[in-house]
Amino acid sequence: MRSITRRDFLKLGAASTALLAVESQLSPIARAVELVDGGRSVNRTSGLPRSFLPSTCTQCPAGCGIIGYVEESRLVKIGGNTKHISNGSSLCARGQAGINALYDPDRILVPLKRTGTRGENASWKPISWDAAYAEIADHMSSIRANPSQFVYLTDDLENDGLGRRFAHAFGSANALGAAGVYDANKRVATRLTWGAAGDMPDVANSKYILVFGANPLESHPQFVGFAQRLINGMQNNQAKLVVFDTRLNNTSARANEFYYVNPGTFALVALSMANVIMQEGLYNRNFVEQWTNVSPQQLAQSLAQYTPERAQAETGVPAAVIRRIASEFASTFPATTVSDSMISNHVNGTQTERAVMLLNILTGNIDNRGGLCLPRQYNVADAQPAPPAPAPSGLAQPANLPLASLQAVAESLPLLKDRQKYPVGVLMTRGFNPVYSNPDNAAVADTLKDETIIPYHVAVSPFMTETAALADIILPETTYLEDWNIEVRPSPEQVPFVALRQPVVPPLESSKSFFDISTDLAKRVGGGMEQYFAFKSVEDYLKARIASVSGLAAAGGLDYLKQHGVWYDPKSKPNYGSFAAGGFATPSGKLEVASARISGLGFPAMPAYEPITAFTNLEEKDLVLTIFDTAIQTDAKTANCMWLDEIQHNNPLWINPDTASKLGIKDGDKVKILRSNKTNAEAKERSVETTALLSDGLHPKVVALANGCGHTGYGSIAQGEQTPKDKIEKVLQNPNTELVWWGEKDGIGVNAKQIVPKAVDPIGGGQAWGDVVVNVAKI
Amino acid sequence: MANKRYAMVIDMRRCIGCHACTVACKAEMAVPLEVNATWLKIIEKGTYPDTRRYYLPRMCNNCTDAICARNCPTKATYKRDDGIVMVDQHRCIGCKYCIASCPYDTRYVNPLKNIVQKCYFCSHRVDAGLQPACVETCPTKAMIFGDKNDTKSEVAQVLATNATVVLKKEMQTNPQVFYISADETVMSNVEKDINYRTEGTLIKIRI
Amino acid sequence: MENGDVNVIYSVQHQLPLVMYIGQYFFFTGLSAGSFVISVIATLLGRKEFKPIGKITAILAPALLIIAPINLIADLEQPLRFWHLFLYYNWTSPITYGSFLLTAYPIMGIIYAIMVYTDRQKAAKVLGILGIPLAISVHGYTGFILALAKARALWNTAAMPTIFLVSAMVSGIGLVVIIAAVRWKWFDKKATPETRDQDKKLILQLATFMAYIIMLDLFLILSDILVLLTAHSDAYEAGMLILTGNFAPLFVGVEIILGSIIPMILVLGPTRKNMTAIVVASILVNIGVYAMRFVMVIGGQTIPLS
Ligand SMILES: Nc1nc2c(c(=O)[nH]1)N[C@H]1C(S)=C(S)[C@@H](COP(=O)(O)OP(=O)(O)OC[C@H]3O[C@@H](n4cnc5c(=O)[nH]c(N)nc54)[C@H](O)[C@@H]3O)O[C@H]1N2
Ligand SMILES: Nc1nc2c(c(=O)[nH]1)N[C@H]1C(S)=C(S)[C@@H](COP(=O)(O)OP(=O)(O)OC[C@H]3O[C@@H](n4cnc5c(=O)[nH]c(N)nc54)[C@H](O)[C@@H]3O)O[C@H]1N2
Ligand code: SF4
Ligand code: SF4
Ligand code: SF4
Ligand code: SF4
Ligand code: SF4
Ligand SMILES: [Mo]
Repeated sequence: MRSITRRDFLKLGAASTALLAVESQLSPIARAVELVDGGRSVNRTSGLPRSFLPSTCTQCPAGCGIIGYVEESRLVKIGGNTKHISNGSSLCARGQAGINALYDPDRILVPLKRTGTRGENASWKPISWDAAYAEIADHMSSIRANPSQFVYLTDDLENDGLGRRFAHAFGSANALGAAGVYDANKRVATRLTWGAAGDMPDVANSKYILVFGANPLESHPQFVGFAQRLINGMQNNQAKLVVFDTRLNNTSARANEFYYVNPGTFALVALSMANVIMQEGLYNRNFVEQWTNVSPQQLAQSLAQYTPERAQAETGVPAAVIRRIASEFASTFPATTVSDSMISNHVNGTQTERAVMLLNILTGNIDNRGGLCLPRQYNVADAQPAPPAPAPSGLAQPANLPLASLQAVAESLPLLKDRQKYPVGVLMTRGFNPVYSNPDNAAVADTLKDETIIPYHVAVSPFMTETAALADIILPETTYLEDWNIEVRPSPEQVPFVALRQPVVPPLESSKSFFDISTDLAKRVGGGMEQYFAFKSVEDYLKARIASVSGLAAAGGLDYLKQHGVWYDPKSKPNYGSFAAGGFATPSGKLEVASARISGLGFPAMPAYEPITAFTNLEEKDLVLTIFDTAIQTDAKTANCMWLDEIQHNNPLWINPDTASKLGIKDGDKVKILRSNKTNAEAKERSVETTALLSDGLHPKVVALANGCGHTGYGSIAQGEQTPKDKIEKVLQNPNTELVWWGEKDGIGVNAKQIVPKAVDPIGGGQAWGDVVVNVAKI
Repeated sequence: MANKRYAMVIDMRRCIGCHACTVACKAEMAVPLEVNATWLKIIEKGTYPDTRRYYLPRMCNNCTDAICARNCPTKATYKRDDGIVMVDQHRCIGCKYCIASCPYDTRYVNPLKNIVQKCYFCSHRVDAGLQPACVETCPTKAMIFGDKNDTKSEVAQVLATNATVVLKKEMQTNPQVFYISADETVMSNVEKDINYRTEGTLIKIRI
Repeated sequence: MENGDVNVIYSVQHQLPLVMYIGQYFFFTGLSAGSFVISVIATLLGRKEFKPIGKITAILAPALLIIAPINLIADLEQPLRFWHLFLYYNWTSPITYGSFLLTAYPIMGIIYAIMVYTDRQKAAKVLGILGIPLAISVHGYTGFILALAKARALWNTAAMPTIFLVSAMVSGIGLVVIIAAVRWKWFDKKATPETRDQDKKLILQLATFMAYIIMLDLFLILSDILVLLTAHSDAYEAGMLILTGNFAPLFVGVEIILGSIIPMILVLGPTRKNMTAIVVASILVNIGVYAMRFVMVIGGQTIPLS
């Protein structure tokens, strides 16, 4: 056992940081004995301290606190912000590599106008900002009378709110977010059940952690902060970790127990455990009676069909294991489940997430210390004056998905093909790369290429992504390291915080932040929209946004954030059990285990297991494809980071050796992966080719491909090629880009999305990434 | 007071195999592409369904009996009083004999500077009172670094209260990177059917 | 994971620090040392018929030793800093004593050559005797460079310096035989049929001597391999690497069969009186020794250490 716990040590670190602030003038010898964990950085040769600014990492959704260290106005290193309550001094590989994105040799630094036809034959001509604005304003003015013909497409709508503000100010409701391709099902399930979108398992204080289709030690929406606490829970608290997955990953590798589960069936695992808990009377009767909208009898009755024996037959997890884990989970308090966007992985995802939540509900592990907690985060209001929201459109809110508000791009994008119903005048894409990231991405590319569907496409992007490559004009936005934003996230520490993103270096060359772009454009387009962009500066805009956060102003407001990067109420403790006072933010004020809104759509009101039709009559040769994130790359975002690509630059097909030998496939063989979904008639035959990686860490009926490879955009680094020196802007030059070695040797892998057909959960609207049936053959 | 003796402990019960240490080192030490001062080895062991995955972060052990220093013809490689094994970048002639001699293959020729380099336990940070960059960034704090001669330091206490192992003890270089709960197989370099996949094949003849 | 149950999912490979420049350097010092020893033997025996060979080799030895360090310097990442070797020497490093030996030996060799050419027999003999340990050290130390890098199982054996020395003798004699034969055939203007006969006999004798040293070499290699195969696991891997692994064609095929056994047969077998066969044998011997340097230097570094 350690005599000093990690937590003590961190405190010690924080204390000595304060000390060092005073002592830093003294000679090294006079300093504290124990080394401090960060917060400063020195030049390697001179030993001189570097100037620094705190900010926020957005290389993934976690939004860790960073410090940018600068020498001669060049960013030389990114470190963790020791004051940040989520990640402290720690960053993951991607956070460390952010510097590569900033100085990507192929970065776009001037506005580009397309010459030649859209698509493969496009070439680009630099133009002035003035000319670019004039051209865009022209196009926007031409649809001034039909503002809903302006469509804005982004990754995270809530993030800086600027794109939505811009669309709404113009009069268009068509600001579309991308949650439909990630965690829409989870958001809908949690919102319906406890009135808040999302959750935050308190793993640091838990004693028993059940993981369903999530991989928190490798990819998690709060990766660093969450993984840190999960390991703390396991090491300091002796929490037991039990994982159900289709493959051995970094989380199951650390688990006390790990079970392979048939894909798409984990709701059945959860429900059969819930059944055991009810049958054996292990549930928390008081909690269930007081806080749910169902009675124990109703629950027991609706769960009775999910016997462990049935679960064994359909999920592959032995009934005895289900019984034992269920009773361990119910008798160890506190306990929690961890489930993630993979819940959105299947057409039955929303109900699956609700089934997993049920385990916490039955055992009273709801918003308690060590249990499944409500997401704690400040609501940062829109800056006033805010444009009124136009009436929802059929595009932003597809009629068949009433619960999946504004986030349904998987469903929405194909709708654009109906030109009569959803005419588009101007499409603006920003921070989202659907041509790479959407299901059936080739169809998305076809849509974006078609000038009769998309007459004009403005891409706001620092990089030549697959999507930007199909634009008419590209506005070089700054990267996250040169821009401002207020960043709030659900706190893994359960104490809400407000963080700031501020430029650690000024915008390179003539790139501009989206605040400047939207403000400039709003003024050009005019017609009243400019009044919503009348802030004197971005700082004024941010001040207006954080005005609503109580306590922050007293601490110093934006100035405090600029200095420290993050603010949280220092007196604040996790207010577990917050629901006790006012109930849950649901219509009944209770946990809605039975959801009227779901039954209103014609689905079972109670959490239920609905077998996935694509899997119902699998033939011997059919395999299910699991697409997974790794600790090295984030989806489509980090492909131009050379330090990351050097580690993960391609994605072989992981396959169980027994499965492989039946197919005559040996390790390293070239294989063709052919999509075989028979359920989706409109989907064309699609395939990708890669090499086979034989691994015993794989369910025999599953093959797996990592996400984030096989780019056709971004430029040389993502293509694994050396950048010709004469092509690089001076400010981006880096001798390393001439050492890129992997493309030629190993290849750059394949984009798994090419074989994923569009298929969404009819309740939550989330894309079913995991319902892809494939056939694999040696070539 | 006894001399300082810096040492690193890597607790494999906490390591999640995330490569953050690798990339932090690239940034901190300006390690070019192609080469690594620290890297992560990952193996899988066992047959389905009893398969396990193991990691091992590797770096220069800053050995107390460093054979690289003994074999360096110019004393460009030398040991500081606090145990950190350094390479004097102005003295090194690039004969690479130290690389050939190191039993852990932790040194490299910087392809941009034509100088031999390795992990120096971030000596410049240590001198400034800071933890090494990899230690600072490790998301789960699996790495512990400090003066093991200072009994109050965390590293000394962890060493005193945990069973630790070093790589290739039989080489008698007295490594100062200690591992807790490391798997034997991942520590060994001799395996049947060594199956390198993601390797950089840096067997590159530079002429 | 075809047979075993360990699957390396991720690792990096490493640079090959010492490339063939070093192998070549070893080859040339070996040739030089070998020639010097032959020259000194010739001088010491003092017989008139040995003189021409004594002369050729006296020149060869320092000449080859001037080529050798060029390889060494070319291999340096910072060639312009080679003088650091002398300024910042480190006596625990075999390279340090090597660099002093490498300086002393050619100087001595040149003086020796002058003595030989100016026919100052006595001085030449004394210098020769003093020079032999130096020549042996110059080449022996290259063996130590490998043997003392304990990281590499293929190198780290006590037999290594001796193997290097003996193979140096082999290649050195081989080279002398080739040169003497060429001289005998085309360039010896003053030759009478009688001296030609004598010379031929001498060359054949040299070749026979070479064959015996090849036997010694083979014995040393055999014992080295036997020990490798029965020692610890790294050593076993190293042994297998050259016996059946990637380096087997070079080691078994070129070094052992082509470079040792066939020459031995050519020199000791029915063709033992045939000058052409002898020359072919000597060429093969040198190819074999060159291959040996390659197998040792490059092969020794290809076994992963991590
Ligand atoms: N098969 C399969 N497909 C998937 C998934 C899956 O699991 N399987 N996952 C889905 C999920 S969960 C998600 S979140 C999506 C992600 O899909 P995307 O949202 O398309 O991918 P991101 O990685 O978020 O990167 C979006 C874009 O942000 C821009 N960008 C990157 N860095 C910066 C910056 O510093 N500043 C600015 N302004 N822009 C920047 C780039 O243009 C980049 O292409 O992919 C989905 N696609
Ligand atoms: N390092 C890293 N961190 C990230 C990201 C990243 O790309 N890299 N992306 C960020 C984003 S945008 C998101 S949305 C989140 C995603 O975070 P996660 O939801 O954790 O994403 P995945 O790794 O795609 O999926 C988790 C696990 O689900 C398993 N799985 C897939 N199908 C099934 C199934 O049918 N049954 C079961 N039981 N398991 C299944 C996969 O094998 C995988 O191990 O992570 C965020 N954090
Ligand atoms: S988890 Fe990594 S990539 Fe995501 S915000 Fe944190 S440091 Fe950045
Ligand atoms: S690990 Fe290798 S390079 Fe580092 S000190 Fe030890 S012997 Fe030298
Ligand atoms: S390469 Fe440099 S540090 Fe290494 S042994 Fe040679 S001189 Fe010393
Ligand atoms: S201590 Fe510093 S130099 Fe060594 S591996 Fe860590 S980051 Fe790299
Ligand atoms: S950073 Fe820490 S957890 Fe990640 S691989 Fe390195 S040692 Fe392991
Ligand atoms: Mo995501």
